[in-house]
Amino acid sequence: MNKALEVNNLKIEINGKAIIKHADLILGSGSLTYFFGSNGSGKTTLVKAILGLFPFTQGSVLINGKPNTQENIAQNISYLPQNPVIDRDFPITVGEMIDLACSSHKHCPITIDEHLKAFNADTIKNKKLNELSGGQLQKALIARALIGDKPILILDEPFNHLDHTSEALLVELLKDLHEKEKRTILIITHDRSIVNENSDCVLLMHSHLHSGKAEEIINKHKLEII
Amino acid sequence: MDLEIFQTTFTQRAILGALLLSLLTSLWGVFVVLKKQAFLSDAVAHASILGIALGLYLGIYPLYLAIVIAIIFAIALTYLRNRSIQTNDTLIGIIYSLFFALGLIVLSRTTGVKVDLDSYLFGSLFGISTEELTMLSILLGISVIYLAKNFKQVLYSTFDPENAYLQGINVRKNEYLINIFLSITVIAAIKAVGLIMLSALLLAPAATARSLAKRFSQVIPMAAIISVLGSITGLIISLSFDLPAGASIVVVLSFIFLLSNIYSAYSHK
Repeated sequence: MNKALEVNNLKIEINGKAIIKHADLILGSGSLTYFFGSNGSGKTTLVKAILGLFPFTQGSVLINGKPNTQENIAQNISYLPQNPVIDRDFPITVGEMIDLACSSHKHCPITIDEHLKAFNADTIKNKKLNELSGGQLQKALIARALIGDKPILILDEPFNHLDHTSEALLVELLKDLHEKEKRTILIITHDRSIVNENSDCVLLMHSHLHSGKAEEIINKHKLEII
Repeated sequence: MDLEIFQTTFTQRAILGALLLSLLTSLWGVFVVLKKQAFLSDAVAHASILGIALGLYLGIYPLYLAIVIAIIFAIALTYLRNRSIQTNDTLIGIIYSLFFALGLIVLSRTTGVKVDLDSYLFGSLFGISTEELTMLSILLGISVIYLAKNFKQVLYSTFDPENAYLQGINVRKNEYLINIFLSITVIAAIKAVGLIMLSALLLAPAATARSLAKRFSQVIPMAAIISVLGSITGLIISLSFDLPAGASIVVVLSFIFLLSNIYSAYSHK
């Protein structure tokens, strides 16, 4: 199995207190993985450490077998943050925001219009961020994360604020990216109903990081703690 | 108004100075407003009093030393902000007070500087020299070239630094450069409106454009147009009624800002 992402014995501390210890994780190329865990269990912190946004005190993170340098991350990973560090009053339209992201990819296979249309969000292209509802902003941010051709997608709580129709559309879109384009996808979510036969692996952050087949993890931990 | 006044060298210099400054301050003012660092420009201006004081004390052209002090201030602030747990405004408040206090101490040891100091506090656009116009032209040229070459990176770093980092952009380098350019721009604007009023020159056109623009691509051109129109109008008012140039420009720009805010408030109802 080709490893798209490998985390070895990672330790993360905040104010001298270890919040994540001995975290090991392997995501195979083209795999679809769901990552569960209760609030404050460290899911987002672990992902931020993988992305170089949070320091770790021990261990290593490899992306396609190479260390997680900024250059390596930029070439390989698209990320949807749970809480983006953006100013909603910034006078930028959805189209301009996606165009900005597109300029940092080697190439964006489809136009912004086609991309937004596929997500049923073409009406928000010319809207400024402060004119969007919470769900529309989430759609815009997902559209920004999904445009381009990076092989690994990490989506932190992508279903937040989405209505049922948009949620179903996103699931279909991710299924396509996984099955047709063979992208490696890691989804952090609270919604266990999302886990289905398509997922290769489930990660669970409960005291420690547990990983395994979806059915195995669900049965073993009952997923009641989430 | 006697139109012959526009044919005098000092008026033509003042108009050219106002034009160059308007373009320069509107370019960097946009990033100050978008980064919500309005306090920073005021702080740079006040910190630069140390450079002006040192210049007057040592007999060196004060604005040169003010630029050096402003760059040191910008670098120190950016460095500390990336490493300290203190908030941005706390750091700015403490560092600029330190620079300002040192400036006052140096001034207390300098005699016969009252008239010179007034021109830095309140500006003297009609006294702008050829060297200062050259400095403004060079600074505007470098700013335009830098932004034309790195516009998307600078915009991305300003709008969403975390995502910009993940796209491989050197966010920290952009942050240092924006703050250095901004600091030099602030010093350049001191000559026109003085360090007490320069925040309005830097912020009002950018803030007006921000509230009126329908998309980001309109913000900088709009800020530049507002800044040029406001400055030239202010200058004409100043000449017509024999009023201080800097103050007239600031009043016009602030008036445009207020009108745009009233318009925005009612158009969104």
